[in-house]
Amino acid sequence: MNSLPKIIIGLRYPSETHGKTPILWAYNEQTGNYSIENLLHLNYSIPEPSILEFFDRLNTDLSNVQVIASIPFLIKEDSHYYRILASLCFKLTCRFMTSSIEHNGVNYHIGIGYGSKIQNDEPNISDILKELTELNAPRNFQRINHPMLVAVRKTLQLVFGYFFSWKSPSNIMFSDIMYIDPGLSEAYARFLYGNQPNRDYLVQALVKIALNPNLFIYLRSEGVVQSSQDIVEAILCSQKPGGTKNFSVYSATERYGLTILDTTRRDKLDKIPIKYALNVQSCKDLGENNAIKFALLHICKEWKIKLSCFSLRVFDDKGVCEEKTIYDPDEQQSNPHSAGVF
Amino acid sequence: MNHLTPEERQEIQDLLSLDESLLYSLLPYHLHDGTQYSPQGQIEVGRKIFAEIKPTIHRRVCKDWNGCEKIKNEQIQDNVALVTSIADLIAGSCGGMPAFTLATIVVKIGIKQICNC
Repeated sequence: MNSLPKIIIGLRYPSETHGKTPILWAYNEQTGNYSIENLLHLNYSIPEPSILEFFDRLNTDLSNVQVIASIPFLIKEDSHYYRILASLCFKLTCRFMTSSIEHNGVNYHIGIGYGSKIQNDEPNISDILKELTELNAPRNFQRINHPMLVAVRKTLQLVFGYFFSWKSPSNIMFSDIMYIDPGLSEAYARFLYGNQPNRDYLVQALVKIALNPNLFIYLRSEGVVQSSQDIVEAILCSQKPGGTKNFSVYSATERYGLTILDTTRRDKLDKIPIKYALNVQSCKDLGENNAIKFALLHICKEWKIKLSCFSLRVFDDKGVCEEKTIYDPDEQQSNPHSAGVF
Repeated sequence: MNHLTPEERQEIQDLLSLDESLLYSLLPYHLHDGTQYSPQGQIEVGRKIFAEIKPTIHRRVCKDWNGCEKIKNEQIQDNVALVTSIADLIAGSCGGMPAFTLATIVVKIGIKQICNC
């Protein structure tokens, strides 16, 4: 895996609870400097000049940039999010492809952005996009449980999976735009910072996701993670003489690992199933599979279990899948604000 | 009816906040047999456990307690009280399964349906 990006630029979709305007922000990992642009004052029809000014103010080399976009996968062509994303791609010399979906007389677009370094051997995604155009787009495109969006997500998963597994001297993964559903990024912010994270905490959560590709893979993955009974048995097994401390489950494309630490709690194991179920219930709006992933994260946090994940489609320079921790209770304890304070 | 401690009341309220399928997922833990499941498999095993216990629950709730008449009683219109009453009835006769969880499943399904009122 190549070096991490120096600059993370993010675009966050607005929500009812966190302001109705899109937010453009940048975080310099080396200096810790953080810039944020609330696009409230912009003329939505022509946001490009202000965005370019925003980049100028950063006064930095944009050659090693990771873009993370917390936006829905379906974007109306006349929306300012579409224009902003297109502008980002233009400025950062990314590619931005769209495909039109018509539903009840309304045109929706699916945006897929990726790095400009891909010049050859581009995957032929036209067939996939053609297939998508034959599906009906929902009016409420923020609801990720809708079968249409599940189909879009799975298709994008295939597209992104193709990029991830495509071996190249250049860093394909970090030149891709990281798309993440606003619901997932907000749920991750709630996991880190509590029930009502403010705007800065939402951005911090996105920074963490952008800095840890395996966390991004975890949040975007379609695999089924450990059940509550798996967690209980993992802790019990680790206590036996010679018992292993590492427990993994595999999906078709990911491996999810639990590591029982010396600091892992061994008490109140009977509470794990109910805590797990309550977390699934509280995240059910994200869809069943995502709710289970967040339930696992919450249990790992409460019982101090290390959680890791890697995609069987992502390879480092040596062609090896790299496993990275996506939640480490020891790290969290020693530096509870490790996401940085802006 | 037993007096509930604050912890017991909270436990019942937590259980009542869960969907029926998630309530089933709580049962396999009490088998203590070391088996691991996928999240969906855990729910299915829980359903089977409940199905095995259901005749006992039916006898205690519908026949011994006369559940169809009891649910007309205004004192047990509150779901927490209803769960507590049913848990008292079935405790000790359900093979080591948690009475509050089983009683909550009964309430979620509905006594009318369980007892064919």
